[in-house]
Amino acid sequence: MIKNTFLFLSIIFWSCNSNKITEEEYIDISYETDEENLVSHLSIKAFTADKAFGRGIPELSDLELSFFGVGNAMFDQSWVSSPATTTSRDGLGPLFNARACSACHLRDGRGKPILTNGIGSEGFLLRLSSGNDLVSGPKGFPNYGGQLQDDSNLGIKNEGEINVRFETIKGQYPDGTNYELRKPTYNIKGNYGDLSTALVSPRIGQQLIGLGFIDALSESCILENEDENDIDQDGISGKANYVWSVKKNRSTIGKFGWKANEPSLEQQISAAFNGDMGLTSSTFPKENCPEGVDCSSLPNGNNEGETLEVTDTQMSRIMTYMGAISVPVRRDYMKYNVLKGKELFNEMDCIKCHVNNFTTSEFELLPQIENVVIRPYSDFLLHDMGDDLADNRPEFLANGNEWRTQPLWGLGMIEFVNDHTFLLHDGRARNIEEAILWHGGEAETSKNKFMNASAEQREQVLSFLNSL
Amino acid sequence: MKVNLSKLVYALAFTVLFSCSNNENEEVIGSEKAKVSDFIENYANIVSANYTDTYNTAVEMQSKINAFLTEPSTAKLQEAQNSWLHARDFYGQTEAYREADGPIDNENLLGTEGQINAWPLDEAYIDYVFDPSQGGYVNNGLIADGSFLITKENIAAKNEEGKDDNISTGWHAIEFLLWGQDLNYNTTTHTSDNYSVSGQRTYTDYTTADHSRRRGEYLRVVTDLLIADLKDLNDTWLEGGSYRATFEALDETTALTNILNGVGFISNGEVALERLDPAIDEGQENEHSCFSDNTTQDMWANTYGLHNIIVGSYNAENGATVSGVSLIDIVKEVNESTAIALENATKETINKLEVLTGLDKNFDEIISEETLGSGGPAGLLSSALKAQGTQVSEAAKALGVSITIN
Repeated sequence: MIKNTFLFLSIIFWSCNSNKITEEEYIDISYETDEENLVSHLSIKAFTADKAFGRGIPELSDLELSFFGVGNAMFDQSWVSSPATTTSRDGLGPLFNARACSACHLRDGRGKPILTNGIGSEGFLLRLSSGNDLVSGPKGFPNYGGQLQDDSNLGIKNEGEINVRFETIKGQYPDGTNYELRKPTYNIKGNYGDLSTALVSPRIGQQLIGLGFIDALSESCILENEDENDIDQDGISGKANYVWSVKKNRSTIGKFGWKANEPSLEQQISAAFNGDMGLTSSTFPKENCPEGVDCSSLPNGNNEGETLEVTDTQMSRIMTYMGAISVPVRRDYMKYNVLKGKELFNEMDCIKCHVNNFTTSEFELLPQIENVVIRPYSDFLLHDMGDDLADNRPEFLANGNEWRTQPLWGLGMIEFVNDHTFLLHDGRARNIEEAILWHGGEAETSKNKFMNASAEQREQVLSFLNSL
Repeated sequence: MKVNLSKLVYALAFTVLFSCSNNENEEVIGSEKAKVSDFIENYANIVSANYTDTYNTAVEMQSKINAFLTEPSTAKLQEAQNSWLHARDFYGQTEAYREADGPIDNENLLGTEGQINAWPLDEAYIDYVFDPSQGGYVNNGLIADGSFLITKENIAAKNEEGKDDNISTGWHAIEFLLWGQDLNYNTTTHTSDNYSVSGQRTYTDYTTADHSRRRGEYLRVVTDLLIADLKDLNDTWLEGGSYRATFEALDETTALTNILNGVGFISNGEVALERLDPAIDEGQENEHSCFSDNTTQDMWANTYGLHNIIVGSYNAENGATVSGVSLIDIVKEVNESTAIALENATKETINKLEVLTGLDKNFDEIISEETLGSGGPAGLLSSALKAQGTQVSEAAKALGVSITIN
């Protein structure tokens, strides 16, 4: 009420004084209560780089806290091949991309693209397929399966090596400012046969904040933003992916992954254990086995009396950990440039896909997370992002041009946590500005608005994004 | 009507003004009152004294390690190990000052926590390990990699490179180089259940074994790096030091928030959640000082570090006591029952700690006998630390600041 009065007064003031309101007044008008708390009262303040993406929501019970702690330890530590002196961290491989979750998500943060050929990646992999089925998803490529594992246990050949070459693309803003983008091309030397006909999609490990809140979003609240046939004719469609849920044994809405290709947090984690680390769990109990090798004859990491390497007990810990990681409170949210940037972000229609208003639904894992207002800056829908970004590898309902809108919460903290600012699905963008410039397709108009803005305004948009 | 209202507001404002100055007068007369500013000052004194003790005892350790490297022998290895154990008692207490926006883990200041005390450590990243899948010991890691030049800068650059347990520096790297892997090997039954033994590295790893020269070089350099980092921490917190000045210039609310966020988080989020619960649930891989079997004593040092701030008193290495206004004291000024709850929680934590240390067993044996929620001594200490963290959070609330402890 007071705010409205002030707004009213400000408007009078503004109209009398021809376009002059002070920065303080602008800040007061533009700031929206609680906008800095991206997961409302469950947001956390980031004190250190080590924990900025790894702190739990407040209000966890004693037992939930214990599970959180154990899950955190599992996340950080390396798994080893069997047999080993360890009983709880063995079973790695035979094929794998990483020895630990933290190898691709260092400090619960973001992976890095391959920058130097011949050196192992830190959170980059290639998905492979020979085709796609709308219900069962991508068809594994013969001899390789759904993913290129570039590492393996002793005595087993890894699946291949990846070399990357970057091509520089020069461009210019209408105001004459030059910029450069780099476009990667990947060359795979496969060890299990020719890969030249394979459909290939490069992927970077994402930061792991707020995943429980995304898991707690209902299908209907995601569908609210859907406009597949662009009935409102704003050039932006938004399409939900429907993907195979192993536990439910039917197609359900996709929420996680670069193409919204996993239906739930549990399946996302289980798929990463299986595909990235070669670990079996109840969702994916089969070892990812290289062609021509009898995996049942290899030692596995099952303890006596157990049939899985990641037991249900361990899974419950990692689920609590992943589900309970909160989202850091924004910084600088009351600064003039940041609030100006917010206004521009809305005006340029970025907000149409990077949606900042959801309320979570029922969530059995952590009922505290239910019915919470969240600001993820994503609609979790698929959008055509143009030919330049396309991987040309369909996945369930997503075609080769479509990607899930990335949540932008925590964006400005990636550099703090991970010492880099590589963005987009393959890390090709070296910073936020380049990521914007890569936007095409449904985002072409918004990108053009950004390009046509003044240098000062562009900086303001970046200031806003860095405050998230 | 309007006039009356503004008169009322005026009168009210006057009353507030009046009562404020009245309070101030009382404060001057009754100097017994525990002031927040005195608590903050006492905190800085304790932090500084604790870092000084840490630095001095670590320098002592450095001289013992250098003496061992000059002339390796079983006796000199033992002395180096003992000096590591002694210095750990003081460093462990300083962990209460983490997550407080201070130099230890603020990346804009020193930000050396990961370089000083990161764990758990993938042993194979540094040196040879026992690998049953290959039927014995496997030489690998930075020591066996002749192309890796062992300098302070290089091993610092390797720390936490690639994944969180690629640890090349700090207390636990030194611990591993002094003790070796703790395989709990039972020589009679050939099983891994002999918890009374720790890592069994012998001095010959530094004389005749493969890569002995590089191993010695690594130990010397990694120790030098730790000493340099501890010196920086000590210097910056000394009276007149760079961060001490920054800290003293903080407004009361910020200083209080920082201090309490550290104490609350380390009690709950770090010691209970990262050091006790994973070890109880999943065993020795999650043990903090697993090579030396010093984890029970780590728990002593971590718990006392927190306790020191809550009760406002620190016992220095030279026998002196640094003490002043405690957290309990300042909470008592604003809310008696919250202060009592905090006092009880911290007493209970010390009680549970004493049960654990009184067992006279190695930590790996203690955790082998309990499971999460089974109510064993490690689990009870964890619960007490969580409850203490919650009470610190309540205390913060009573003092008008907000912290997060998870």
